[in-house]
Formats: sequence, structure tokens, C-alpha cells
Amino acid sequence: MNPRTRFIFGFLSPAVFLYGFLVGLPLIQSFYYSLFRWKGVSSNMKFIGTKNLTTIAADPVMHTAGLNQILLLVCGGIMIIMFAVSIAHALQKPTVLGKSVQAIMLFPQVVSIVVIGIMWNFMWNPSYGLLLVGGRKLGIPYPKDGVLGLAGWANMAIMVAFVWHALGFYVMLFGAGLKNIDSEVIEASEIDGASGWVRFSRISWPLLWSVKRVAIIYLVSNVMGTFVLVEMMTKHGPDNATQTLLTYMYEKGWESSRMGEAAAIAVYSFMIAMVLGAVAWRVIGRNPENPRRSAAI
Amino acid sequence: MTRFFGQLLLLLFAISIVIPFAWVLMSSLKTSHEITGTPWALPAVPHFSNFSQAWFDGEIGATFTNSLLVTIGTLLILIPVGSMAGYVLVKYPFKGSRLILNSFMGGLMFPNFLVIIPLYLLVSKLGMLDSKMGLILVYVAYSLAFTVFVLSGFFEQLPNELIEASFLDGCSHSGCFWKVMFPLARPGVLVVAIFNAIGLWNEYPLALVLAQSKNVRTLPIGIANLTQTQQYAGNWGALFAGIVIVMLPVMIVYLIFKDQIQKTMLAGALKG
Repeated sequence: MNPRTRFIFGFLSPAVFLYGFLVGLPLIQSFYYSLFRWKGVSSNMKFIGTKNLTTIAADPVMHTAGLNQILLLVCGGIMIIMFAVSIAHALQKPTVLGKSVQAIMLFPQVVSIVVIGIMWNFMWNPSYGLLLVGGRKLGIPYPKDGVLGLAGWANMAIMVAFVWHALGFYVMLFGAGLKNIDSEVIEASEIDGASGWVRFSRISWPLLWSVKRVAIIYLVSNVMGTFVLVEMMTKHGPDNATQTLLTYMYEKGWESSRMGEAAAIAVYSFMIAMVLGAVAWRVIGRNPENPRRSAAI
Repeated sequence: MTRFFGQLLLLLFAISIVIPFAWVLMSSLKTSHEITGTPWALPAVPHFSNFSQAWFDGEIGATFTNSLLVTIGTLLILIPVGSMAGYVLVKYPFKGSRLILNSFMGGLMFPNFLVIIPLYLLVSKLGMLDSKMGLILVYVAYSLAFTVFVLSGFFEQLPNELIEASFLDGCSHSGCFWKVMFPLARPGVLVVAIFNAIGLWNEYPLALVLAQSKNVRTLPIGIANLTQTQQYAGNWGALFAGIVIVMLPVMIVYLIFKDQIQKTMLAGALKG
């Protein structure tokens, strides 16, 4: 081994070893473990083929969880992108208010999601929570026992917390995208007499395609990773109404000791993430200058 | 007109962020009675005793120390290991170096809790469940994707002439890295370290599964447990104080480094 090769090997191997062993290997094993029936760590594993996968596929709670993820991605995603683009637009002109917004907008992102979950659990508390007490003062009707104990309402409450938590990052992302748009293009459209909305919908929005792609990947990853928020706010209740794939996986594996079935949920989660990512990518991540090429991806 | 609506939107956005945090801060200084009775009012007298209660009676004090140890321990391994790899991958390209860099990048894209089952099994086979070292190694591995990816970007920008010049001065490959390149990349390394520190300080799901026992529990686990116990005890003030203890250090660090942190987050996101 010459010194150069030895150097490369020496510098690279700690990272590659740790990453391969603790990240890469478990990634592959996920699929393998879904083929066994086993409980916890010590007990032996019994090969049962695809039985876990079929059990989980027929499980109604799994369907609820999958549906919740899709709803969160679609509704939450639309809300996030709409708000993020508008706020990023408003931030383009430097004002004092804009500067302070930029300073604080990532707070909900950098503070621990555990804290965010607990905080929003309190926010929705019917007797002293800020939102419902405030709503009562303003005369806005809401269910008497609060919202976290009712199926549809609880999902909505989680979505609000999710959007609140994630928004700042997307504002930053779209802000960077808008800044990258060539100002000459915008000026030319102004000379041509395009109004604000037309300018946005015909020029800025399509030109944001690469940022939209990044946003989609992060959105799918964020939504599929929803776990802590739900556990802190509703404990995936009432009656499994707010389950997500990860909360259900955790419940199966660590509360019901059905590790094989939990692994099957993980396998499905991977697949769902891939499919959702691909669909969302196609819907809003098209490159307007070269639509054919991006459609092929 | 558009301008007006834009500013109005910004104002509403700012309020929606500030109010919940202000409410938590305010509640951390109130008695339980005040919190449930008059949620919108300021505390009559600030009850700093909430903080000592959370710190000593709850497990916030002990878990705070654990979190500090785990975060620092992780960074001490992560930063050298990650920067060495990032450096080699861009400055010593070889057959397969692109592939390795890409597989680090791939790790950025999936929620790591998805692989928790095999990971749990692996860590328990190694006998490292419920140990700080086990948690630290797992944290290092799961922070490597972002760290290698961003740091390789920093190293890529440093001119190759510097390496050649240091060789002429008699430096070895590793000497050149430690004496010339690493110091030059230090501002970037610092931001990556801070960014990772925030994530590690906050991390909950992996710690939940891998480090449950009392003497290794980290702060987020501590605050989650405190929530459950206080729900029965009804000591809301201490719970809010605990929440403040978790979030305030992060907010302060973030405010100091916010420009660099935002830049790093964007660099990580947009290059991918």
C-alpha cells in the first residue's frame, strides 16, 4: 500500500465503518426481519415468510395510519407551501418586521419536537389552553371537551402543530429560491404589464421548480417521520384515530412485543414513502424548461 | 396594497411564533393555580421555585447532565471522523469515492426511526443498550450523513495549491490535513458542530428506544416523563419550568449563530 492509499484508507474507514454498520446494515435488515415472528430481543425468531406482511396489510389500524400520513402530506403540505411561498414573498423587501421574522422563524424548528408536542398539547387544553380559551373569548365554537379527544378534530390539531413546527424551514427554502430568480426576468414581465398575481403564477412559481423538488423530498421525509408530535399530543389516540406509521410501528414493537409485525410496518413505510415522494415530485416538481426530461425521472 | 398584506402576513406569522413560547415562559413562573385559573394573565409574583422543583424533584437536573455528556461525547467523535471522511472524499478522489459520498447523502433523506428495529437488535447484541457509549456511537453514525456532506462542501472550496504547498514544506498527507486544511475549515466546522449539537440535544426517538434506564436518560426523555408524572401530581408550574430548561439553551445558541445556521441548513438542503 502506498502512502496515499494508506492515508485515504485510514481517514475514511472510521466514518464508513460506523455508517455502514449502524445505518446501512439496519436498513437492509429491516426487510429481512419482517419475515420472522419474534418477540423482543432474547426470544428466538421463527421464519414465517410473508405472513407479517399480509397481516399488517389487512390491519384496519394500519389503514388509518396510512390514510393519516397521506392526509398530513396533502393538506399539511399544501398549507405549508402556500404559507411558505407567501411569507417568503413578503420577506423579499427588507423591512424591520421582516428582519425580526427571519430571526425567530426557525424557533419552532430548532426547539425539541418533544417540547413542541407538549406545548401544543397544552395549547389545545380545553380548560386553560391558550387556543381554546382565546377562542372562547372571541366566541369561536369548539367541542366542549377539547379537540384532542375527538377523532377528526385531533388529527386537525396535530396538523396545525405540524405546520407550525415545520413552516420556518420552508420559508427559508422558498426565500432562497425567490432570491435566485433572475431579476431581469421579473423586470421584463413588469414592463410587459404583468400584474402581481400573473407575475407570480406564470413566472416565479414555475421557476421555483428546483426548490419545490427539495421541498417535496423534505416534506415526505418530515411527514413519514411524524412520531414524537403525535405521541406527545394524543398518544396516537383516541382509539387509534391519530396513528401514524411510526407510532403504530413503535406500539407493535415495544408495547405489544410483536417485532416481526413492527418490521413489516417499517417495510411498508419505506414503500409508501417512495411512492408518495415520486407522485408529489411529479405533481409539483416539474422542470418547465425541460418537461420531458423531468417526467422521465 | 400587496405590500400592506405582505406586512400583515408577516406580523401574524411573527405573533403565531412568539405567543406560544411567551406563554410557556410566562407559565413557568406561575403557580399551578394561576396556570389553570388565569391562563392569559401574568404571574402575580414570579415563582422561580418552579425551576428548582423541576431541576431537583423531577429528573431534569440529572437528565440535563446526561444530555450534556452525550452531546459533547458525540461531537468529540463525530467532528474528527466526519471531517476526515469529508476531506478525503473530495480532495483524494478515487474509484468509488463518488458512490460513498452519495450514500452518505442518501442517509439525509429517510427518517432514521424507520430502521429502529434492526438498530435496536444490533445495539442490544453489542451489549450497548442503556449505555451512554452505545447512544453516542449511534448518534455519531446517524449524524455522519449531514456532517460529511456539508463538510465535504467546505473542503471542496479550499484550493488544491495549499495542499501542494504544504507537501513542498515537508508535510505528510495527514500533517497537511491537521496543520493546514482543518484549521482553514474551522468556521465551517464550528457551524456544523453547533447544528449537530442542537439536533443531538433535542433527539428523542432513538434515545427512547436505546437508552431508557435512569442513569443514561437524556433531557427530552426526562421532560416527557415529567409530563406524565405531573399530569397526576398537578404541578404544572414545575413542568413548564422543565420545558423552559430544555428549550432556552437551544434558543440562545440559535440566536447567536442564526445566520451561519440558516446558511448551513440551506447549503445542506439545496445541494442535495
